[in-house]
Amino acid sequence: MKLYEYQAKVILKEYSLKVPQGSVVRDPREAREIAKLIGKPVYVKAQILGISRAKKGGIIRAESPEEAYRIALRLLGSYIGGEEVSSLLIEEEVDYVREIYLAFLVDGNSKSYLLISSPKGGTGVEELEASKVTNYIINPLIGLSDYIIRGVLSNLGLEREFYPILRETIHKLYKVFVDYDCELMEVNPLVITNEGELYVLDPKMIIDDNSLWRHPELPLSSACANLRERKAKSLGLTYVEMDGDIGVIGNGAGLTMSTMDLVEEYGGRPACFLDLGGGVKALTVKEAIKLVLGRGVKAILINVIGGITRCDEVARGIISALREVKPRGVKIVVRMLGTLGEEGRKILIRNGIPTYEELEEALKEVTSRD
Amino acid sequence: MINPLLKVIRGEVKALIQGITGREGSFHTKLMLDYGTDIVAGVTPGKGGVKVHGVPVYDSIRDALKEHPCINTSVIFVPAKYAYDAIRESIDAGLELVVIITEGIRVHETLKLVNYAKLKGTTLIGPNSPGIICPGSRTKLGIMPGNFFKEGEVVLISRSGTLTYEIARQLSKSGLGISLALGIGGDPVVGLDFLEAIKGIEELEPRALVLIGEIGGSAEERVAEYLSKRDLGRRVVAYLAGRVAPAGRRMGHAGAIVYGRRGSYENKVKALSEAGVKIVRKPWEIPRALREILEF
Repeated sequence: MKLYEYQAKVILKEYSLKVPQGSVVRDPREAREIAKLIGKPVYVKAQILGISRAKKGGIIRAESPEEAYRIALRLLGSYIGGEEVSSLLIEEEVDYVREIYLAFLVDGNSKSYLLISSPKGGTGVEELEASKVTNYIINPLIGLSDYIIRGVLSNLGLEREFYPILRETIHKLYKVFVDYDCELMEVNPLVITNEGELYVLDPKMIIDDNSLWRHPELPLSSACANLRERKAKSLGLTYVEMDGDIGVIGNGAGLTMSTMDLVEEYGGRPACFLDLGGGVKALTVKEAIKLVLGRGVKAILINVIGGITRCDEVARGIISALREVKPRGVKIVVRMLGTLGEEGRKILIRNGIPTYEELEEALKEVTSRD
Repeated sequence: MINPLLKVIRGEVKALIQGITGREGSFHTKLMLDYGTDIVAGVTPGKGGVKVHGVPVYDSIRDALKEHPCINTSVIFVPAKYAYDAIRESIDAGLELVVIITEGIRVHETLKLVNYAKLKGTTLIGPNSPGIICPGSRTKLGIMPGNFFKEGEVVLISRSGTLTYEIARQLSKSGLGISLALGIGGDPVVGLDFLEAIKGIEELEPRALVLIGEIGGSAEERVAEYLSKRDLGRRVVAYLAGRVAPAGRRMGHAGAIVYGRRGSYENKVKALSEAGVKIVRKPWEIPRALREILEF
């Protein structure tokens, strides 16, 4: 789960890392009040989860409280990269002399943590020449070693007077990374002011979904961009929206992705990806189908291979969803086999739903124009 | 040390089931026994003394080993919150192969387990793996439906569960069989990864290999790099899921710095093709591609 900038900054402050003075607002008048309190030029920053916020006009400087009000009025309720802006962070402008880049992440290749550093931060850091960026592998059994920090410090190319505070900052960021089970703890940029202080201007935190139960204080619902995605997440499902008109539901990410690819091979356009996961119950299947119907689709293809999942449960879920919603003009096609597959197929066929054992036949049916 | 995958093929596995008294553990112990797997003991702390489908249950691996010193493998069904402790116990007990079916283990815990297992010489499969199956030796260490897998000479390595069943079924339908199918697990960090699995399988000199990949990460690219220097590449058929999935850039700048363009469908196809691997676009095209390799 990715955190909003303001959420990550609350956590960093708890670890006594410096962030610009500011506050999150949901109303333009509040934006004016906060800017007044800060008493100097501010940045109005849209709180969205997408990338390249600045390039998309989501971060704007305001000279005065009135200007902050006008910008807030324009940004709130607008859409940036498909995401609705429902809150803003109003922050003091910080003058700085240098911006640098630091990130800790979980790396599946080295099966370790990685510490990445670059003497130049800000936007476009990924386009930097590789020689400027250093990667250190941190063995998770051992943790951060001092030689690694020395290496990072020398790569950043700063004067020695900054070493103690940088060293402290790196240790604190590592602690946040581990304590919060982060997949990513990135600060870009981390800036050095004229006074020799370090400020985190923009942190990016992605927390491992499997560890969210350890952090009950984090509001789960706030971190999904789209209402249906949020609903899916609360049901324990994975849902991604696309711009076609055939809803694709499957059990298992690989199978569901493969089904989407095949829908396109057969001339259809997938409207969404919905992974039921393993061992799903009828009630969840029902909610899943209602979710996809709510998206507005011409057809739904459900592809289930029972292993841990029982096909009869899935079939019952499909029937009860259709009884409740009674969708008009939406073609529902099911491919089903594996654990209790015959039972499941019987239930569906009895209710007049085209059901197949072979995926090819289901694909032809769902993409046919009748 | 003998390659633990070879032991599976030779039917030398003596299995322990951790979490055997739980709902999933007990259900799948029955299915694995029915398939022919040699399960000698189970462990659930506090439940020592009972039997599950005739299998004696112990409080700890230490207790189980006292009665059954032959145990060399563990299959983990322990719920995610307790799996870290259970897996450490199996590594400390010196087991050669640990297959983790459990889904939802925290990635920071997985990282520690994977590094610890490496130090101790234990092969970890998973987490979030459907397991390993070998129809020839009637060994199933996992949750896959056994009847989808017919005996034969094709090796199947996959990142996903249900998609593996689909492809195993396509092979069976066309008269091709499987010598070993291995699900490495769907989590971002896993024990035995794609590349290590390929290296382990290479020792077994497979006649044909099916690789079932997905978009994201760079495991397929690293396999391609390895295969480009080997003859094995020409014996591999790959199917990759996620061609039309929207490109995710979850890792932001850091992801772009570390992984660059790797991860996309196009990049994986290009890398694997250059290594001599035959790529198919539909699961049911796999049997024909395999026949070309087997008849070569």
